[in-house]
Amino acid sequence: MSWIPVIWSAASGMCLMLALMHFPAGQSGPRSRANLCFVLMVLSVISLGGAEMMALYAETPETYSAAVRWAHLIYGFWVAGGLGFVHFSFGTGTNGLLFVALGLRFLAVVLNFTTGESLHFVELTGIERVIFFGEEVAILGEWVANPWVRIGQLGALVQIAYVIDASLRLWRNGSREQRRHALLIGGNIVLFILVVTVKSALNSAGIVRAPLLVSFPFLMLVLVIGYDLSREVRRAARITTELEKSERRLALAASSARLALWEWHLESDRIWVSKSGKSLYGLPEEEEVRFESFLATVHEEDRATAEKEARVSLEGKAPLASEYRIVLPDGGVRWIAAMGRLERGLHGEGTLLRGVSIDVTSRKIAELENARQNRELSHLSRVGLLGELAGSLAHELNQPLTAILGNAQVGRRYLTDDSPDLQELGEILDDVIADTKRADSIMQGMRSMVKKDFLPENESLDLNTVADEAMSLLKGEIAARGARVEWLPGSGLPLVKAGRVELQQVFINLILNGLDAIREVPKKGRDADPAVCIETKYENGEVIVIVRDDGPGIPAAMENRLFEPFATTKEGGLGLGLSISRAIVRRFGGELEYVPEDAPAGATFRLSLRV
Amino acid sequence: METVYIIDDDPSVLRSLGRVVSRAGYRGELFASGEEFLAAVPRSFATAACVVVDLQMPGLDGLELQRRLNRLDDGGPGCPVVFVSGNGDIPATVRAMRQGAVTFLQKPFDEDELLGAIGEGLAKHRRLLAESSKTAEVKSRIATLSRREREVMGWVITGALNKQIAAELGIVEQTVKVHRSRVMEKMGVTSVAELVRQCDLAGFFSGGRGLLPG
Repeated sequence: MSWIPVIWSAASGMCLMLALMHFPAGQSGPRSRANLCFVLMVLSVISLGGAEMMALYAETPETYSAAVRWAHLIYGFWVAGGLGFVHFSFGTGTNGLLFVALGLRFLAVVLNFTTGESLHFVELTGIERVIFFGEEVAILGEWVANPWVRIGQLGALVQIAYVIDASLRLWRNGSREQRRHALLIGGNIVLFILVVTVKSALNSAGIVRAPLLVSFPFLMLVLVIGYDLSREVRRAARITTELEKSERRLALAASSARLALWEWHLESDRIWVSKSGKSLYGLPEEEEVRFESFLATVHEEDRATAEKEARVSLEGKAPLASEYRIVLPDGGVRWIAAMGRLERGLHGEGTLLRGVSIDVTSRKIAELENARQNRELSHLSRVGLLGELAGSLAHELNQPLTAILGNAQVGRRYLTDDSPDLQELGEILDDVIADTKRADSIMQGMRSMVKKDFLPENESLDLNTVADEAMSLLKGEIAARGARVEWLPGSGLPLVKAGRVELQQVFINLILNGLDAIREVPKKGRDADPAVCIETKYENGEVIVIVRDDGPGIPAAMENRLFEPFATTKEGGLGLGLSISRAIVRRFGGELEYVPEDAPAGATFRLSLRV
Repeated sequence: METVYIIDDDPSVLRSLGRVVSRAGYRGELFASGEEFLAAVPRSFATAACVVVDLQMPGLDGLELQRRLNRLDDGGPGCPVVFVSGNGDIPATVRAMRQGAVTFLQKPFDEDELLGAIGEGLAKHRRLLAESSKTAEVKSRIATLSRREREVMGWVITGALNKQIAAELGIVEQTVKVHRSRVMEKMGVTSVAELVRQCDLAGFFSGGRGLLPG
């Protein structure tokens, strides 16, 4: 029974298996480069075993010498693999040392082929035979040593230095796992380079007479590294199990919360959507989703906004937060809220938008219903306001009508003259036209107040203009009451986004409240008469409207309830004006508040809208 | 030419009404506020005039204007006022009429309505002016009477007989007769009834004590 081929073959087989296990198929990154180096090491060890077998069974010194020559080349590959492994898996080595070590080994291999029969021998003239594992094997007999072997030994010293340096650095800065790694692998590599170099030095010096047995210690090293790597494989398996569990949990959570999980891979424009997500969006389970096919599910009216919001989030400045309607295949409509975050690649470029979507239909319906009721209520209150103003508005309207009627009748008389005064007639007609337009604009103002259509909610408005329009609707009322109203428009007001008619309504409401309040105060004559004062100004990024009156003021007990519905101090008042006004202002992102003042009389209200 | 004063805070209405009255042959004077009007209006009128004023105006309103106009006119007959208004406020209307307004027109109104009201106002003013000039004449006549003649006249208009007057004044009946005929002459009347009407016009009342008939 010949043991040597059996042992060597078994060892080679093990190594080959390790190599295959770690072959980094289709991966990239430092870890897979380390694995590639490991594979190179293992393959080198297997080849080294082959070279050793060749030496053990050599019949002639020439064969033995050739085996040694090839072994040096293979050892060169091993060094490249081993140092590469340390470089990539530790990441702490000094690159200078690495290049010197590799350079010296390369030089040694070159010398191996150019000087003498190998790096060790100038000439091998005889071999001897000894019994090893019950077999007769060849060992060195007579030879002439090659002085260039010192280059190889120097190289070994640099290799050791490099590995020790890298291991120490890892030991100093690394985690517990990394320290273990440094000790086990660094220590073993150093140990075995040392063993091999010393042994072959002793062999070639003729001090030790033993067969060429280098691959065995290397095999041990390979097994140590293999063990280490297999720990990672086991860990990966454990993580995989954990991951599966957590994915199942997530899927359960997602489906019970009707949550859609998705990932938009930007480069390939593929969107992975969880199963629950596909049913949420009404997408067929098998279909591959792309951005276009996602957009196709979005309601026509929301599509442009949804697309814009998604594209903006790809700039990565803010996370995605978007609400839109989708249309299901059966025609049903669903409100979706989507949230997502951009993930970046190595160079900071966006690679992936990952996020969740939820069904917010019921909330949205409630919101819309609420908004609709709010609008309904403010419309009703607007109609009510107009009712209060009906008398004075009729007066306002009667002014131009009076002028028109008078002018028309005079004009007709002029026509009966022998030679009508055409210039006078022209002036009369001009006045008729101007008054007709005036009447029309009063009608327009009234109509816009009672119109029930959906009113535009984010016009860019100059509050001075809005206040002017409100004042023109109130003109008759103010005249009828003989009240004094001071209107102090501020200059340089920026535009604000709001609904024109509803803000007019708020102004009218506040001014009418003021007019009601001053009615209770006796007049003192012209400029000393109680007044309502309206003022606009721009302050700290807000446009502010102040409405102040010289009335008796708000009773302390009422102050806190002013904005509550049905709270009123007025005889016959419903107490809805202020609460509706505040709801309107808040809908435009502003605030309406009562300003308690130290002044003895009067009430002040402050309306503010952000620019 | 008779004058129509128009006061309205609406310039367009003012111009239109101005045209209407000018066309009707009056002299139209236009004012945008009650204050302007009061500053410009004459203290006494040579010819009849009429005021057309809007009830609702900022500052001095129509009612206040009418009140001040009545006060302004010391002794002379007040200028009639026609009110116009865009909305018929009943309490204001009632007050206007009680203060002696000619009429109240609801805007918008037909020119005939306006001119009719103005015509009525002017006629009233004309009558008032005439009465007022008559009164002035009677007053100047009364001023020419002596104290005793005035005493006698005071008794005559109560319907007292010469004998009663003589007894009251402690003079002879013959003297009463002389005074009486001088009174009739100075007052330019031929009958007691006429004298009574003139005294009534001038606000002259009897100085007698309890001898009034009935």
